[in-house]
Amino acid sequence: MRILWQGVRTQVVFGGGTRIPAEIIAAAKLPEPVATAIGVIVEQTKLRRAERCDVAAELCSHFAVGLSEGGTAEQLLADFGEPRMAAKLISRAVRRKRGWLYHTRRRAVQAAGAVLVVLLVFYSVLFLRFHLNKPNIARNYLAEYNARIAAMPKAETAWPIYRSLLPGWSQIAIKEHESLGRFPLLTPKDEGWPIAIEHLRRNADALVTIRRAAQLPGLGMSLSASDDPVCAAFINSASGLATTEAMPAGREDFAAPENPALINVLLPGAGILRTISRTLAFDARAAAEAGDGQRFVDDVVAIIGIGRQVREPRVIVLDLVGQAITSLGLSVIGEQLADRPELFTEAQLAFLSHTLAGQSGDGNPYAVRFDFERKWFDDAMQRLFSDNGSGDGILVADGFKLFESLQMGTDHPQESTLATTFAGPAAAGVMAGRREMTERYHSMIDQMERVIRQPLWERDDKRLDAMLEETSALARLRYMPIFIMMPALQRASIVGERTLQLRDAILTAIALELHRRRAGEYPASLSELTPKLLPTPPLDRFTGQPIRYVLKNGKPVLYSIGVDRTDGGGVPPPGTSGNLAAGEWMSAERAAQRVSELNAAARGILNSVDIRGDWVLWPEPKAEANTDK
Amino acid sequence: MKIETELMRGAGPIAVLKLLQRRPMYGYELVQALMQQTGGVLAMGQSTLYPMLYNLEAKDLIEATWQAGAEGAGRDRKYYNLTTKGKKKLAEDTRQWQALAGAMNAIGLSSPASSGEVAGLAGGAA
Repeated sequence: MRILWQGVRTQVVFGGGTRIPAEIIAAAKLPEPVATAIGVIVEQTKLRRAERCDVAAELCSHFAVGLSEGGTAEQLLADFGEPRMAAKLISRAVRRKRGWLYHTRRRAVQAAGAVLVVLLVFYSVLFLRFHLNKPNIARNYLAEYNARIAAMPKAETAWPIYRSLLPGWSQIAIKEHESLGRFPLLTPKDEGWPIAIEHLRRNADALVTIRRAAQLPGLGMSLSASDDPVCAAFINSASGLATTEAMPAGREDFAAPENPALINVLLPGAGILRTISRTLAFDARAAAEAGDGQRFVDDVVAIIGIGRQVREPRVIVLDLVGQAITSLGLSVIGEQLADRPELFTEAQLAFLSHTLAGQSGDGNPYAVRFDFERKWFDDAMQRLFSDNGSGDGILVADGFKLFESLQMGTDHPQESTLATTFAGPAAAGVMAGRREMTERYHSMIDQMERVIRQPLWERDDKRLDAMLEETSALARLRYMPIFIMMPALQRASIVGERTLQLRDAILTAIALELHRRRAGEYPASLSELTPKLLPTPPLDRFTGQPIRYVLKNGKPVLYSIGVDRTDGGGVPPPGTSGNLAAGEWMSAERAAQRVSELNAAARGILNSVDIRGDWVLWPEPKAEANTDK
Repeated sequence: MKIETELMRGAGPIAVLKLLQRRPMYGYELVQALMQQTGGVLAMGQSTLYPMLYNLEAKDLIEATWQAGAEGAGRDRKYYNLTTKGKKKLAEDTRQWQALAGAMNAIGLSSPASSGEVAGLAGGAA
């Protein structure tokens, strides 16, 4: 309203809204020093034009009256006061007369400015904290691990033996012969069979040594962040590459530091022992073809032994490789038990049974363990965070670079970038401290270990999902290192149960064969096997009930009712991957929903694996034959 | 006699309101009245007076209107007048000043000489 009035008044008093203060001052015809002073004051107020016109008119009036009453220009100017101060006071006072909108906007700007200042101060503190603090890499986790390995009795460790055989190992040239693609599941009808047999012949001596080493209690493989040249040469030759040209990029000049991050540790043993196991699996098949039951048993027992040894370091990756090797051994045994049961003597069957059952321990012997992962996380924490001396600290610049490299899936620290320099302090401000982060990680792993110790049928998937799939965006940001570095727990938590189910099925298959030999026929039910041949019928991991057993055409079939929890009489879902799908874990609730969707969908729906069927454990459906169980 | 700035800050506005209680006045007139009626005690530079007037206007205690000058003067003048709110404020401030003056008298801070210096203003307010 006041602004409107000012506009009207300017129109009325000063003869129109287009006039400017200078014109008003000039029109007053005042002495030059007075006009100049008024001009300076008016301009320095930096008020709106209408306001300046008003002030100019009033000051002109003031001085004109003074002059008309006999005052001199000098005297009046002296009485008036210092122009700059006058301008400042007038400006402030006139602005106070402005409307509520101006004052509201001004207060908003002031408030925003104050907030900005507070944020800047806060950010400055974060910035200094982030860039001035350094990680304190006090523990050498790798050295601690290797010290334990070094303390193992040499005569009880297999890795030095395996490693000594690598330079003389003759690789099978899979890449050069398409016919070898199904190795080690070749049959004499396959074109690649003679090449694979030659591969066995060249490595015959090594295989004898390997079978012996596989029975040793420990692996004893020390870990390193730099390449072991012997292993590198083996891996390169397996890839068909020359030793000199095949080093993974950046590795050859990557000198191992004194205290390397565990994240940089290489695990060449995983691939090497898997390669050796595949050769043993083929040797077992070749032995079966030749009717050599003892050699077959020696081979599969060696595979089972290597599977056990590989899991020794308790690194999830190695644990999973160990289970894959074990599954390979179980698959080979199961195949010959079904196709060629006469291959085995009773003593050999009993030996195989004891060997497999000997893997039992507390709970599931194949349950994945997280010991190394815990160390891996603690090591990362000491590299990402500062150390206040009592277990706490903040994310710091050097650590942030490493953290960025983790996100990018590399193990080389990234160069400083603008993001590191400026976003890092903010990230450090949001992210939980070292102690909180570490405690939360270990708490999650503790919970996961409790879950893994439970059989699948008792598992509370909702609780597990809630733990692993943090939905709060703030929590995901606050604990980002955990979510990035958390191992694939879902998968890891299931694989051990799967291996146990397959192992139990093979133990039952051996018991069935022994029963057939002794009774002249297969039993009517599994309960007839207990307790003489089997302590108790093994349990279906999906239900907690005994696994199912039927005779089809006089041949036994062992099966789990599978993920759909419906007994289909031992028939797997259709398709080449049907049996595999039936054994893939999902909660009963989710599986029911999936079955409902499949039932509702058109027959033969594409891109949707059918799970409606049983998980046939033994004999393995032929279509499912592959090397990587 | 020169009055301390702090004291002037409290006294200036009430003196201006008191002068405007009698009749509307323009800036130069107010300056002259303060000078003459207070014996120079409450004289203030125009650079102080005008911001004070704008502040009082912002508080709605006074209002300004431009009026044509007297015949022959030939110049517009901005007259300030007390508003209703200004009158209430003046009444309240007057009571406070009288209480303060009484208190000062009671402890012997007031003197006939100093009272005489502001006789013109006091008389006008009576």
